[in-house]
Amino acid sequence: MATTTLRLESQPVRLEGVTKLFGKTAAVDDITFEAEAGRLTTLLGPSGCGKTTTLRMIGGFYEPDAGSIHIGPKFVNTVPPHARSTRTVFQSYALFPHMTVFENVAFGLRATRVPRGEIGPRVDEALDLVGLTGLAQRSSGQLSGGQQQRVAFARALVTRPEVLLLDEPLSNLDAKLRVHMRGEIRSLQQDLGITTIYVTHDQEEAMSLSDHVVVMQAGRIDQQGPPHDIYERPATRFVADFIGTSNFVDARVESVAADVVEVAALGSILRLAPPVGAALRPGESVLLVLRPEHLHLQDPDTSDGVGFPGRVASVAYLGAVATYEVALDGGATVTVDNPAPVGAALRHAGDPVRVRLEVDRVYVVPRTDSDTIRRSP
Amino acid sequence: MADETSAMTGRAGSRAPRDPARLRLPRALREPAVAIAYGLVLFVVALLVIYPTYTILIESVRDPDGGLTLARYVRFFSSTYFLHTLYNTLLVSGIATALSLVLGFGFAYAITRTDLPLKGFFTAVVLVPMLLPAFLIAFALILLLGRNGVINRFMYAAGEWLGLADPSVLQWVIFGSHGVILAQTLTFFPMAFLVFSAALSSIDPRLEEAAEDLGASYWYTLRRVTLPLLAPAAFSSALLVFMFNASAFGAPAVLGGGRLFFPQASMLAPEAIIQILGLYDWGMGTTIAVILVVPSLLIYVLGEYYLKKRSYVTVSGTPTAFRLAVVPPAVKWTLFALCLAVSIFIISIVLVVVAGAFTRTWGVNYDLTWRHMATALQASRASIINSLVLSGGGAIAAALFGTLAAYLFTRRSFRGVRVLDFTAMLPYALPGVVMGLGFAVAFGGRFELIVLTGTGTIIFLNHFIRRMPFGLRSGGSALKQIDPVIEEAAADLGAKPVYSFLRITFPLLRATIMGAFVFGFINMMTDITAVIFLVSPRWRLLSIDLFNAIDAGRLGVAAALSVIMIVSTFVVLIVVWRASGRGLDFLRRS
Repeated sequence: MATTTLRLESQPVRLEGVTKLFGKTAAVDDITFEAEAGRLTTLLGPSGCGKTTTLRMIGGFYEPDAGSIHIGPKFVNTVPPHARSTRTVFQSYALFPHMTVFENVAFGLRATRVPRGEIGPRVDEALDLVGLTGLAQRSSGQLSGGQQQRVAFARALVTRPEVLLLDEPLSNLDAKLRVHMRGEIRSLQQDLGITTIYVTHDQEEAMSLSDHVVVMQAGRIDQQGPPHDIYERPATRFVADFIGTSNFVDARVESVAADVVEVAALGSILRLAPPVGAALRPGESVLLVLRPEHLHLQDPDTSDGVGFPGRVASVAYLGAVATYEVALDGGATVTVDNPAPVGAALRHAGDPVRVRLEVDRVYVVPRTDSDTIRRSP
Repeated sequence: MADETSAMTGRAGSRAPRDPARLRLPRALREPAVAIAYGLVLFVVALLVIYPTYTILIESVRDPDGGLTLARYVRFFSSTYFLHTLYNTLLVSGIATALSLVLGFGFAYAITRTDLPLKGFFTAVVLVPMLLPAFLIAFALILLLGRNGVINRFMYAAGEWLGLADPSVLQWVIFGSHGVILAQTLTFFPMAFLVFSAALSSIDPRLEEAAEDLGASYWYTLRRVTLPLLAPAAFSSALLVFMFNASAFGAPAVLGGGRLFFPQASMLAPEAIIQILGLYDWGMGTTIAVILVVPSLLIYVLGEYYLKKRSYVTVSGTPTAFRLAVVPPAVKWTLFALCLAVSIFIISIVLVVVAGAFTRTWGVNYDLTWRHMATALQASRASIINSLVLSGGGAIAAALFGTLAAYLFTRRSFRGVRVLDFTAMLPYALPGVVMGLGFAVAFGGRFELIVLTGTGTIIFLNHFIRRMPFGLRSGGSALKQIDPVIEEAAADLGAKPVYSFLRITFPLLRATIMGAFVFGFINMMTDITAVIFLVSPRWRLLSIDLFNAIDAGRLGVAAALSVIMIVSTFVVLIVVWRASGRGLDFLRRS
């Protein structure tokens, strides 16, 4: 997609205590976050977590049952979709099947009575922007999936929205095209400087695209922040599990200080950074989060750093890495990803090994899943 | 940024969140255009459905002295004559329904599950009776099997040739219960066919393959898998067909007179007409109408709201490919013989009417003549024009209004809309006699609110409201096929509801609207049971002229009028079919 001179008047979007009920179930339960002007915010979570419902409330398709939504300075809870300055790229693209590419892109301009003379040039500009120059007269049924998606983007952008809403826009594309379009969306978004809210269940997509990630689970926000924060300092077991792969090891809090917490795990006492958000009490059961790539296999007699003895239970050789299941002598089984060594150096099932931890990359999360301690709505 | 105002409408400034939407107007109605459209629908339904139904009910219990009385209902259920009318109706309808189901299933099974020759031909022929009014089929049966009918004349000659003492023993005269049953079976079995073929083609073929795989024979699979899967479809189409049979007027009036199971009595719908038009007994006529309404409504509610939930097959599902060779040859060729015989019979019905229109005296003198056609065209010129204008206008109004209502009910829905939807569908469930009589009572001066007696308007409104439910239903199911996200996209891009409806929804529904128009037009052209109460010397209709010609035994003119009716509906059908070609195309694509 080419760069453009078209700058959009971006606005921040602010949700405060927003709740949406379907019958008696809260699909979205008291969530608060802000999508900053000109930046890309991702709503990330498994299906059914309320992320699409949240997006639809911002787009005006649902009305919140409680809380407020502001776009810039304006309170928009009850404003119908056609009167909002948000534009959505739908998961299925929702191109009008009875119209050509040109008519699809021109639709929003015609519907809002943009002067006739402006329509042609603006549609052409939008089609150039998404790299569809020359396809204006195609009917929408004659396009490939990737082209349809570009039309959907052009159709949304041509109206110069203040906020762009993307509902899993890549989920209907094949894997290769998905990675390619991801890059295009990011550079288009940055070129235009448009506030963008992006819904996805794909953590890799969220990590690679976002300025800000909002992780949702069961209608609530578990954690939000920049991608590396979410990955490096997961606040809950759910976040640690959903984003990347994690080993969980039972532990018990021994003592809590301002910047360090001591926990007992696998027969040792570890001094770790305190978790984000939750306050721990001595004696409390917690979980240690160990990322497989932060664990290292060593010969059993090595003794640098903090490590635990164990035995290789199984090996999966994946080319770039080898994934080991290791049964620790302390009882737990952990997954370890190590760069795959050349041929003979590969360890085998039954080999005694030592698993070394990078202590500064071990995190403590509360033992209870946040949803089980929630009050029911 | 904070103080900037943009092009957005909507309330400015921050506000405290407030309570859930319970006390506010439903969101759909906050759009003025949607609220106005709902107002229109409510007005139409109140005026043309609720009001006539209400007046017919009141009329049946209205005492001449001004009080209320149930005397007529007591009289109905204590009089042998009326009870026999009821029994005749139940017996004739029951038998005709059973036969319709058998025929409908046979055709559907042959067409969807076998590789028989002539399947395309059978599919086309089976739909022909739907284009013909019931009394026209009855009339054609007279031409074939009446005393002077072609077949009976031939059988008489054969009897003479064989030297029989009474040559007429070989004849099979159509007048009587068997004639009514035959005519009604032919009229209504296509409905059963449509339900069965939809159900048969949406059963997952793997279910039957699984049964076979587990060692079940063809017959065992049919009995224990296929038929049970079809049971809900069979039951609901049985109810539907029974309802239409029970309220039929044409065939009993033409073929039934004095020769039914209980020969002193007629059937309910003709009896209601006799009470009103013959005896001017409005009270008794409306009483019979109400008695006709009760079972119809029960059946409708049962079929529409209860059975649908129990169905194993989705009738709108994509047809699946079946292996066609597994049906045993004996079954196949029996079905072939059945389909062929019925198809030939249906075609001969059309041919005999055409022949009747151009021959001098049916059964006596088969010289070609233009005389009947000239008489028909001259004497019924006004009726033909009236019929075309009122049916054309009524069908356009019904298709558009029905589609609009379908859009509102599915896309702009809120709590309570189901009640409105149910009420708007009532004209479909209510027998023609009831809807016609209801209009005659409500707008005929017996209640002085609105008087439309003797106008074209009353016929137009009646046509419109009776066929509007078809637009409503087909529009509703077409909308279910269109992803609502398409309309959301329009709103998202700034299109207001009216703009979105006109530019997106309406074009996407074009083929459906055409279908609703065609169906409505055919039904309005051929309707007789409702309009018989509404025509007047100034506003005559083709169907009524035709019925009167049959009734008066003027078979040649009747045949000529039938040809005019068939040709004109056929022409409209072809024109619309052509015009909607593109429309059907893009529906298939999306």
